[in-house]
Amino acid sequence: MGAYLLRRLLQAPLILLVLASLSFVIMRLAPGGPFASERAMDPEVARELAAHYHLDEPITRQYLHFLSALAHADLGMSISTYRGQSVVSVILRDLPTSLLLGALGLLLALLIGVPAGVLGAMRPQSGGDALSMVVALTAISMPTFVIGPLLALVFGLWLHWLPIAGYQGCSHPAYLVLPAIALSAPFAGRIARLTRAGLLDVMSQDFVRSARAKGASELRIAVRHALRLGFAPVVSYLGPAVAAILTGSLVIEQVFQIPGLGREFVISAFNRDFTLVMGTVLVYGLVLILCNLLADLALAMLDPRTRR
Amino acid sequence: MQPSAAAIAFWLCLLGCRAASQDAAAPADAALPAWRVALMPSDARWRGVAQDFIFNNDTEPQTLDPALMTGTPEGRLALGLCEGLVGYDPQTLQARPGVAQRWEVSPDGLDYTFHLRPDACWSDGTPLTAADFLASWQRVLTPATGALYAYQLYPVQNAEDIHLHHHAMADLGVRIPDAQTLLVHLAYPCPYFLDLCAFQTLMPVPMARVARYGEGWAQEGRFLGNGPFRLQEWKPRERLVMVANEHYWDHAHVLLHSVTALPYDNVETAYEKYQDGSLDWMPSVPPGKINDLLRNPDYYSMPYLGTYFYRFNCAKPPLDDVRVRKALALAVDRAVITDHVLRAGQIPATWFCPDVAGYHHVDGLAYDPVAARQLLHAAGYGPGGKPFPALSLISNSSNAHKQVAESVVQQWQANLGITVGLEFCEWKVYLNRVDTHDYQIARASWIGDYTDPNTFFDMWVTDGGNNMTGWSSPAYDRLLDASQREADPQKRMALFHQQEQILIGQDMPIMPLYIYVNQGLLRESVHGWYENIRDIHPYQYLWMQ
Repeated sequence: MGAYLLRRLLQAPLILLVLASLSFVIMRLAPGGPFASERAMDPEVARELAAHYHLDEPITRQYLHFLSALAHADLGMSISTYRGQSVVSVILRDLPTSLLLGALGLLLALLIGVPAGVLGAMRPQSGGDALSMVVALTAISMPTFVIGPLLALVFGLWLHWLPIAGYQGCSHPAYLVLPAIALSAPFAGRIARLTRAGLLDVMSQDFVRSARAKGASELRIAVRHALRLGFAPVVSYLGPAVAAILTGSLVIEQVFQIPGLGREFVISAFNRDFTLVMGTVLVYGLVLILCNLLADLALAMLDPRTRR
Repeated sequence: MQPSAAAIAFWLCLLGCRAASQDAAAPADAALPAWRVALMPSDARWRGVAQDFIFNNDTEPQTLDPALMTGTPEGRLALGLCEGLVGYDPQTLQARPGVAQRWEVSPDGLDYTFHLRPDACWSDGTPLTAADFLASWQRVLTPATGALYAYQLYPVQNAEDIHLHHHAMADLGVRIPDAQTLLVHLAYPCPYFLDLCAFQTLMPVPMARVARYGEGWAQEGRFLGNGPFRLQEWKPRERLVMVANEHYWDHAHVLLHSVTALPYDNVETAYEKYQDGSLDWMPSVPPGKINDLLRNPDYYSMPYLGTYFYRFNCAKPPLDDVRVRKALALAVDRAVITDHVLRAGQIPATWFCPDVAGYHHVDGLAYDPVAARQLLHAAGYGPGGKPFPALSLISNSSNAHKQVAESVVQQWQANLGITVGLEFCEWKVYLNRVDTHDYQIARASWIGDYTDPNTFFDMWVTDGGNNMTGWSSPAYDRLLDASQREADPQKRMALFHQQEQILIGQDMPIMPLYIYVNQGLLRESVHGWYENIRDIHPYQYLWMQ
């Protein structure tokens, strides 16, 4: 277990390096630079600006620059999106919002998905089961850019229950309700289906039959005995799901105008803001690696057979 | 071509609606000049109403450093947080006293003497002097500052050489005989120089803070301005709040208590916010909602100092032949685009420069499909001639650009029998292709930098950075040069007329399509807000009632 953990932790920086290098090259290959605008720039001014950000040097030199700065945990200054602000300050400012939204979305997905799946597995083929699976399938199939505006329309513009967009800090949680629901919907749907399938699989096994023979109630069997094993597919899904929720709030952040890191990533890529793109890519890479690692560890704890 | 009857009716209707909601005249104040009195409320109905104005600023500002600003959203913030030597009149845009309480111009138009207010100060109460302006302008002209709009200072003697060719900063044509006097010597008579003095690039910045914090001086907690409002709170991507600045020289007449700028870049979201009552003004509207908007009493649409046009790449066949360029321009009925595609009051235009500062445009080639076919035939294409080569039109992707392009291409097909392909690319890719002349026909637009025709004509000089068509005309260059030296307004306008005649009557490196409008939604409770050609609305003249 310890060796496994160590190996995974040692792999992480390598994966990040590959990710950063690929992103670096792709960004430099994209046409247009951070200062291109509708107003032409005097070549002299363009030269000065490029020199200021080392953009006039050969790409290999720029890459080495980037690596050595990275080794000192220096991500540089935002070139064009936020002139005069450091990339680290932008990330520190926006990451918590994305994480909070992601955590809320994940919590909702679990709170809705797991009970729905358990109930379905207890009465398979019943009307309630069919209904919950249809709802789950709908939630999985509908893109978030459809669910989001629909929620805003119904609960914001028609019913006036919740604000339709914007963010006022975590002291005003009402602003996060609709985004969190929209974000959680497809994940809740998948978790419900996985929970149901996992439980049904386990419920037909011998130890469950023994428990049933001893007179335990269906609910007790499902929650106390079967869920632990039946939950494994959900847990292995949670790793990528957490990463997807945290990084996938990009569309939701756009629809609900939430000032998170997902929007910075999109905007900085369009702006060719090289430093800010690299910063957000690295953060997302790190989140992805950590989530997958945690999911693997959790899986090992739940099911001893996977411990190797 | 004249504006269509529909467009005229549209304007009259809108002007009528707006005029009714604007009452003027003010509380008695003997020292107040008449123009300012006319911009004050006529009665006390505004009292007791919360004087808080909230608008959508379309996006998060790139910077609050006025010297580095390039975009309209940043400009809207500078208008509240900073002030130049002069400010804009909210109705006419003419120069009104700012940090300078008065100024004189020499008869040859080359020397400006600005007399600064003795009580001028920053929003923390520290004095602001002529030296602050000089240092701020020198900073703009320092290449390392990276001020993309530094060219706004080029009319000042030697400014261009200092910025581009490392001339000594001491050569700048600015002198400060005392703390309250700024003498500016221009390289050429520049009738719009006062207008530039109101623009953000020429606004003062607190050099002590710049020295202390470097690039990061304009962050929350460090920023310092001298405008009618001061920065109270800036939560990036959430909101920016400014409140009335007690140290502002005209604080007594600033009625708004606070101005809040929201950064929603999704115009659909902003529209929903406006509908639920959380915005007082949104300066851009969802194009797809035009039917709803036209029924909304809060909707306005006003002519803007901007032109939508297509560039022709004059260096590549078949567009190197002026007959082909003219044929393409003759074959498009602009009214189809403005009345049926855009429908927001845009003015169909065969000319390039909007009517501004006493300039009246020259009419270009009106819609004439027969003449268009004849020209194309004369160029050797069509029946009995060679087949017309494949052409393509590039644009950045956006629904509105697509609809316009499809209409134009369809008209070319119908009137000339030629097929023009459409290519839509991401913004930076599109910019790169136009800049490197990697196109045949390219969508384009130009928004005036200042309220003068020169901003529309100087870009077409041979090899000018914004020309990008490969077109060059020595006659045009001579006329442009003459207009920039001419101090007499009438002769100057005549020279601009001749330039426009070459541009859109004779050589056609571009094909104008329409004059922009500014559309938005403004609550009836907002007063002191006027339509003007540059969409500039200084907050110190607004009140809620």
